[in-house]
Amino acid sequence: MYTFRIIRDIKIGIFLAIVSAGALVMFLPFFWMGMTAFKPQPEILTLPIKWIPSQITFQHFKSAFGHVPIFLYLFNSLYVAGVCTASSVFFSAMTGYGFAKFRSKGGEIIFLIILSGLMVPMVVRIIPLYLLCIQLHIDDTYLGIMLPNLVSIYGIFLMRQYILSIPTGLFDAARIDGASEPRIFFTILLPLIKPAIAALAIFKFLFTWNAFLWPLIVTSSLEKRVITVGLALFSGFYIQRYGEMMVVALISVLPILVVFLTLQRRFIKGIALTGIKY
Amino acid sequence: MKKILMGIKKEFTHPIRRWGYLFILPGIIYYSIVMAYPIGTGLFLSFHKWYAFTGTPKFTGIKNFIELFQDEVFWLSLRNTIYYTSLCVPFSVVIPLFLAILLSEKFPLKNFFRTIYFLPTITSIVAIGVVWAWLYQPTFGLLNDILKHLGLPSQMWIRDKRLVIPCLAIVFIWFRIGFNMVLFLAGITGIPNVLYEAATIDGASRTQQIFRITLPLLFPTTIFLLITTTIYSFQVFDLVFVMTKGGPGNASRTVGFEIYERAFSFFEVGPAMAETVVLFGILLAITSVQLQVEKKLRVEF
Repeated sequence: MYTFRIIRDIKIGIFLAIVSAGALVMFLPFFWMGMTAFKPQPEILTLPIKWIPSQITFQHFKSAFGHVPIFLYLFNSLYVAGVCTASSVFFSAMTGYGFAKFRSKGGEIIFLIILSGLMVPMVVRIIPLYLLCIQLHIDDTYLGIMLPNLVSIYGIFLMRQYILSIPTGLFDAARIDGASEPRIFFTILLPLIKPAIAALAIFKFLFTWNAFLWPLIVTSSLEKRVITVGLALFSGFYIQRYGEMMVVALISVLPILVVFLTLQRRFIKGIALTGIKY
Repeated sequence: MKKILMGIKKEFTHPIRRWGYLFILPGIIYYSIVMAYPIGTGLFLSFHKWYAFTGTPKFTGIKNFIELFQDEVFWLSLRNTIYYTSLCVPFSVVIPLFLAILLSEKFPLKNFFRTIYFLPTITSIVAIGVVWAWLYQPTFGLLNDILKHLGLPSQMWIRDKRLVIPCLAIVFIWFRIGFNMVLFLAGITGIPNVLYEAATIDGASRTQQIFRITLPLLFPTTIFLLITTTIYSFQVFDLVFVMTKGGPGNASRTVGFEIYERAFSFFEVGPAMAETVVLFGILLAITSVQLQVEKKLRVEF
């Protein structure tokens, strides 16, 4: 009996070591990013390499904020992500509700067609989408950046599946009581699907905030840049200025990081629920 | 025919049912604008030559495709992309599977590890590329310092044309492990406990249980992750743009990056669309092969 305990503990010990080593690897880039952002300039490009700064400095913050309109970029990201999240949640809920509770043969076919859109990689649509934006004169506008993300196909899928599990009797009862359809949607459905809304909102916000390719293509002026594009273009121009680069990287990551660390459980549960990175 | 029209009319005049169509309208409009139209236009444009988004496209039939298949750089990009994907997919699916099985049981600091492994996933790929490029810096980057302490020779990493694709793959794997792990964890918790209990009663060891119950039942999740990871990694653009811009030379040029350059640096819209169509075709082929394999190996309890 005693020997079994020891063997089991050794096993756990080995696995713990492996997983911890992996965790260190996961964390290493964040560590390096943080250290560099606060390291005095001479210590960044020095040999032998200093892992930890001898003193914390904010010089790179001052310099980065001076060279790059960071607050503008952050605002743009926040604005785009916020609107897209709200819009996606609302319209996905509406569309999902329509598919779930107003069944029809035509509806099923339309749903499958829309669902198939999930399989289409972004690359395929991106150039024609850009052309479309030019034709509609919404290139380099906020609307242009938001366009592909105003409704989420995955959101529609998620909502439909979730709403399917709600007993239809609830809605019929409301109808008998004389409630109008819009009223039912707002006062009965929406409160009931809060978990799905939370999951979709987290997911959509994360995805839109981190989006890169589309905002890169559709914006040409500095004013409309989002933080991801700002970071990428910054690192292109200021190649050797690692301190500033790490600062901008850190700032672009910080908001999501904070949200994530506070809402961990919900976050991870939501991602698992949604299941696809779209 | 008349019956169908009458049926449709009934649907639209019904005071309640017509709301259903109203509700799904946003989805339909969105899909048409953002999916159907671009796909159609894209396909259309791939048969035309159009320069710099101005003027009118000229119909050229399959000339774009022929030129594409004769282009050395295209085939190089394709080889690079395949190499990259074949490195990314196995590791970013197998490692998380192993981790998820470990973390699903009574494991110390389970939640802490789950969070740490998930951190890369929530970070923007641009920030990741920038930080890893700094890690890979030959003179002042941390990685060569670690090698030095281990007594190993330092490397040029992403400036070495033999190492650049594995380097990029490492970044992707690092990025993707947490996400895939979380999905595997969700799959594992979905397996009913009774199966394990029955197996224990029958005298099966823990290892046997993992191989005979957990793994087979995780099969749908595994296939799903294989397919989505393949599709996602095959299109790689962000990392290449931020870290190497296709270099050194053309060593890390990928199809996704090529398409971007063709369209937005060289303004050859037609050829870019042709390449996009080819990419899409490849992805469809890979996906259907994977689905076929899944059909053959499906297991149910």
